[in-house]
Amino acid sequence: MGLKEFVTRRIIQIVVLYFAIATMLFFLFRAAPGDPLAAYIGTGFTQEQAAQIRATFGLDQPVHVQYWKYMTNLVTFNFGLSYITGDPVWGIIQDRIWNTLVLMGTSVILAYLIGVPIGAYLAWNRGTKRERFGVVFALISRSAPVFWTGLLGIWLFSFKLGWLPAGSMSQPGVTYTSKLAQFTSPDFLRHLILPALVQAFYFYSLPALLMRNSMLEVMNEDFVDFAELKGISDFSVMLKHAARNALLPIVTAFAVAAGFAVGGSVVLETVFAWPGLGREMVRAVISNDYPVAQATFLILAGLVLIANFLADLAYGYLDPRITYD
Amino acid sequence: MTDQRSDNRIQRRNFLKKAGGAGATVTLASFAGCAGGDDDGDGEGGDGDTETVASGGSETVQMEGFKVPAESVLPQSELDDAQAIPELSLIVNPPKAQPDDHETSMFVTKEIAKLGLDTTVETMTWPAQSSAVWDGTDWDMTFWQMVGRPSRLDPDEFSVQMGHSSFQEGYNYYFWEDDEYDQKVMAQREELDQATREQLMKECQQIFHDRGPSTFLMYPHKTIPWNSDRWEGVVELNGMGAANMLTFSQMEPMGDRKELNIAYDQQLQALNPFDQSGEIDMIQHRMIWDRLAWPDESALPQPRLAEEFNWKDETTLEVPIKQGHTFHDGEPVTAEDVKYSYDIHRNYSTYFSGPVEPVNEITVVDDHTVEFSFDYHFAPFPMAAMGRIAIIPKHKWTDIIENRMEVENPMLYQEDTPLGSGPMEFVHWRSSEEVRLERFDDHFDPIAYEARNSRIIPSVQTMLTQLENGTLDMLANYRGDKDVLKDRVEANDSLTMASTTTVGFKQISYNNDRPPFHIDGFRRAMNHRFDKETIVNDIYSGWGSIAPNTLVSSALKNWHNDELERYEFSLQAAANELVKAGFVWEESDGMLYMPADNTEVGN
Repeated sequence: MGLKEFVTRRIIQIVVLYFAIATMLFFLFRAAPGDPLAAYIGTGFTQEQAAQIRATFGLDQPVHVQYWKYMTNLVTFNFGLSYITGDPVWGIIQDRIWNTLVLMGTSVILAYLIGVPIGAYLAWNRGTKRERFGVVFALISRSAPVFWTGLLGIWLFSFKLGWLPAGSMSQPGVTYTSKLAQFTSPDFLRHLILPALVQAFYFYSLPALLMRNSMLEVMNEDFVDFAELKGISDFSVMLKHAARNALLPIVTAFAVAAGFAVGGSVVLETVFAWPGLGREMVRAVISNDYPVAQATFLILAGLVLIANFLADLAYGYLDPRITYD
Repeated sequence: MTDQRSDNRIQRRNFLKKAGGAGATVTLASFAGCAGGDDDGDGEGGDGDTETVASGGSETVQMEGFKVPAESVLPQSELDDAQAIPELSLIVNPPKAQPDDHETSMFVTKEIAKLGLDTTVETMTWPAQSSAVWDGTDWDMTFWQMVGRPSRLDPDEFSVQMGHSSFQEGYNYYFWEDDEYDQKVMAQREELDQATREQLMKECQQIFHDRGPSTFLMYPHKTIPWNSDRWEGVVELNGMGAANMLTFSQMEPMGDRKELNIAYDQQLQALNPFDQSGEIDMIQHRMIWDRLAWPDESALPQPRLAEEFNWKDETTLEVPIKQGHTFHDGEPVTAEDVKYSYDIHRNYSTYFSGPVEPVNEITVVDDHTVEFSFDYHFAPFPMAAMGRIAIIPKHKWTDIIENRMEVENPMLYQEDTPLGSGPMEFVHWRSSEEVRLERFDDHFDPIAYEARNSRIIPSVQTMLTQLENGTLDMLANYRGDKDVLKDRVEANDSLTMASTTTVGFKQISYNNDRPPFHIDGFRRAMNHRFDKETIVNDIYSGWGSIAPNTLVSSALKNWHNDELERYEFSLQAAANELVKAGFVWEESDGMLYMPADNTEVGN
């Protein structure tokens, strides 16, 4: 099977899987107890008034009709209206997803920029105290929950030292003309530092440990010994020969981690009052705001599916020995 | 959920079996009749010791912790299956959402079980609870909380909607009805004389208290910390707490910073003048849109945009409004705008359609005077409607309603730039992040600061740190541990905290339309099983006022009936109520059974 056939087959798989997930989400949320319009109905409304509001959101229709509308709307990315605010869901998601992508993107990139060299360094120093300390520290960072490290960070850098803001995306009252203007403002960047570092502290151990293991395998290869025998410096052997060849699993893991990072942002966004997709997803689930909840889950599912697909492609590209059979 | 139920279940039957089989010991003793009170005066039932025969006494049976007449204890053969009481379930939100409410529920169900009942705590999320209780009938008991809002400073809203039998599809979700209550609560509504109205309200409270359709636990305290080095003018409004509209219109900065930064833990749901579903919405509303009335510091309605309330006769209210006032776009506020604002609530389903129901006509007398005609004298109108209904610009909303609404309800339309005539103008709303309002310089009651930024901060710790490091000036709805808050405020000289009893309450409601709760004596017995001192002082750490059984909070001093005698926490008093109502106990296991002639609703 050639690349073209592989790509076509994977795209079809993704589309089918995406619609299967959409179907599952639709029925799962409707199986949840509680009236999704409780936020609107219930404060002394008559039955007639309640029925009018239900009809507004299409909840007076039989489930199969609601399902058909939902699936056909999905094709055009029309996720409907929020049951809580009445706003178009796509507008709500669009606003939040950029906030999350900027925060999580920064943390993942930081984590890989820090983690990969550390992993290579640990492997190169195998058996030393530095390696043991590095591995234990990486495991500690992976085990420390983000809400805890986040609060510690706020306590230390905001409360005690006063160096960084304690959460939120900007100083109170600041107005921006666009998202781009906001994301490039010094005020925003100052607010970004602490949450991004806290999340990077959690994430960095994955590339570090992966890189260490991968490097240890590569370091046993003949070409590394050969490079050393040629008299090339340790640093050059580590960087140019061993590390480059050990990067393959890191690159593929990066794509998958980026997909999952968006879904894992809930706690970080709550601790740092960051108005992102994760917080919105939790709010929507708790308040039975089906359209928003469905859309957030679908977007996360879509990101993970695409990330996996890109990882598959990257694998084949980076290692020509891999075939698509 | 099954596991949770299983864990929380109080199985009286098993307990008794383990304890030795027989649930009752027959003895001869004086029986206290129907008077409440335990014998040893410790506020709880006795320890199970047998009693001696008293002169002229009747035969009694010693149960675990209380005594009942021998004729109230029957063998299984004399009991009908219909008399059996199934396991009683108390619905409450999960401990993660409401830890104190959940702990209270666990505590209370254990106390209720001591009467010979199987009880369980069933956890549900709020939407599930709302659906089960509000829309359904298949429930026994539910934990329920109502919060304080400005319109509730007049007790009419709670007293009518939660007590009158015609609201059983609404707030009277516990299906309680009492003809005398119905008559009195509607009479107060139509009463012109304030003193008579207050007296009628107190009589309603007495009826509610005596029949006990639900058990009130506490009127929670609203605890608000703020930076008192930077701000003065905070008003502790009875029933509402310090974060109220009077505070936000009277606060004055004491330093260079002229912007007020306030934290809320929940995002704003809407900035729509016909919708108001949350605490954060309520304040933004009153800053952007004027009302005809709002409360004074004693929680009584006072004219705001109105110049005065002029009752021309029992059913006609004339309201002149302030002249020369404009909306934020410079257009004048006229009587037409007022009529239009109220008519929308009469013509569409909105949050405030209820309070305008008694209005049968609104007439524009002149540019600055409107006249409301009622079907009957509606005494709560100033607080219930005039204090709630936002005055909107007709020139803008006519266009919205005629041309722009996708959904046939203005409550579901969100303006890009909400336009009102209130003391602050809308600047921006970044959802889940911030709402910014700036001072409207031409307002008739101008505020002293330049802008107000409402920040959405879901984490309690982050909120507190921002208050301590000076980013924030006030936490408007702190929901974390109040003892922690108190300690941190005391440790910081710049901070002050106010704790005020609210008009909201926490209660446990019974399904009055379901056996055995349809029997007054059973509900009264339930009321004797609440150790409110322990609940309020220990579980809620004293952050509330203990409530007698009334819908009217003790914060409303003019309205609250302070002569209500609290139900004593006593197992014997509860048993006495049950005996009086004809309940019986099965002799081998001590389980409680309904009276043979009253096993169904309507008997």
